[in-house]
Amino acid sequence: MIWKSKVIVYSIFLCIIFLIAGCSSKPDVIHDLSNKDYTLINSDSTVVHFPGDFKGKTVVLGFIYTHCPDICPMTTHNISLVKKELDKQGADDVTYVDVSFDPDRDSPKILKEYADVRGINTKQFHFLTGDKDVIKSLLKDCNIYALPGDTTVVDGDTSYFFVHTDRISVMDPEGKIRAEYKGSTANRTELIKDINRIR
Amino acid sequence: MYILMILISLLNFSYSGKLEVKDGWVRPAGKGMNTAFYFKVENNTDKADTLLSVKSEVAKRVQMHETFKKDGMMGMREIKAIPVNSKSTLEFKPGGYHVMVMNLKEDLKNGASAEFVLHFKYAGDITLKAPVKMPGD
Repeated sequence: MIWKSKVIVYSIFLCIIFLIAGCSSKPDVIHDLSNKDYTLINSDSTVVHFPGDFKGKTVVLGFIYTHCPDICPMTTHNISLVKKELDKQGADDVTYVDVSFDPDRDSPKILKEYADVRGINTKQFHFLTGDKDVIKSLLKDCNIYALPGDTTVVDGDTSYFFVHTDRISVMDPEGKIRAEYKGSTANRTELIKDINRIR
Repeated sequence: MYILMILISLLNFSYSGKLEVKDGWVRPAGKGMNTAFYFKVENNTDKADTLLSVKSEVAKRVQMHETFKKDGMMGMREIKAIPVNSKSTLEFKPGGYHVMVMNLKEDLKNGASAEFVLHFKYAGDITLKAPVKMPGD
């Protein structure tokens, strides 16, 4: 009878330990960018070393192109809503980044306009572009695909759209990506929960 | 005979509604950029219809598109005509059917509005003034 009680007590104890460990431990590393240095440019035309310049902060990272009418604006909007909620929680150790996979068209000026028309403060939510090869390397390391296609000619100007990965990633303060979500339809409650485990 | 005609017209009225376009909205975007127009088509008639085109003066080109998923990636393709079954609702929404508004002539900022003309095979042209807003606003 006594040993039975002991087994029950130990079982409950172990359950509590596993529960605490499960809630507080960081998710596994998916992509390690901690030793990488991608030289990019932000929407103010300032050079940014990614991810080094964001070291010490958890980064909510989206991948977009500004000519996208449907999916990418949803990704940016989702990140904005996550930011709004985390700002309310006082999470000043989290920062927000959108990287363009269309550097040919997404100049710093275009990125600034994309942010401005959406009322986004680019001092807190950073929009990055850069050299095509550097962007390609970052995309490869994050397992992001962006293939140009579906070309349309409007008044003599050729416009193209991408078939692309739809992604929001969460990078820890050391530069390691530990969570990935579908960018346009991310469950923001789950995303915030993961960010709070990672930061 | 006259009474019979009135009764028939009343019967028709009670059975056939109309085709309506509602709940339209446009995502904000800057001049020269692209955006999307979303809305619902409620076909309360007994007859199927087809949405053939959408026009607007706010952009250089307007096309109906659908978002698709392929090999884990997202893309868009043009759709030339979209059927609207009788007694049904067709929804243009983020991540699905949308009207691609390409190369905007002016900024479309939050709080502004844009006019669109939807051309249906049977219902003809229906004009809708859509607010510019972010989803959830």
